[in-house]
Amino acid sequence: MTRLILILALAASACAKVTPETPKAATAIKADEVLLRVKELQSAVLAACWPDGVMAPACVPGGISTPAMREFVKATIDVAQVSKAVPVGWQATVKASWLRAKPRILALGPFPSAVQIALGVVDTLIGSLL
Amino acid sequence: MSPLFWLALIEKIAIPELQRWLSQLNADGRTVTEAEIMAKLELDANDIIAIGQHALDATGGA
Repeated sequence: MTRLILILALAASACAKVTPETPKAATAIKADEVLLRVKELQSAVLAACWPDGVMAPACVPGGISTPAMREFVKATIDVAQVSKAVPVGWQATVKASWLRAKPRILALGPFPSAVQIALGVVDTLIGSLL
Repeated sequence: MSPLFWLALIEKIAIPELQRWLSQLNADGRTVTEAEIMAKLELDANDIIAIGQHALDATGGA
């Protein structure tokens, strides 16, 4: 498994990156990169809540709790709304929104490992925004 | 392995859907425009909002 991951990592790093031509486009690309990670986090949370993919009034026991799922989902919606509405200067707003939501989310842990990893990626990425 | 190692690895592996999209446009000999990027951004944001809202509705509303 580890070998497969390392091969994939090397293949990924070998891919040429395409650079957008204008600063505004570059900013939008960065915003979209954050959104794609947030989307992965949302998917991991929903899969932990409803492994069969069918939404119900409560999460299936043994995964993530319903209150935790709802906090996660609200945070992902907030980030999406901010990114969409504030294309210029969105970084500070997204960061502030995430920092408000993070303590509420962490208080509802622990989480399944897939959610924990996706959370770490989003947290690192948003934390690195300038 | 430390969590930082895994995070770095995940960052490398997750070949971004975004890069694939840009590469495809480039392969087609096209230059991606600001408008196209903004449209994609909006589409991805709307997707997160719609699915999230659906999940909130299923569990008792916003």
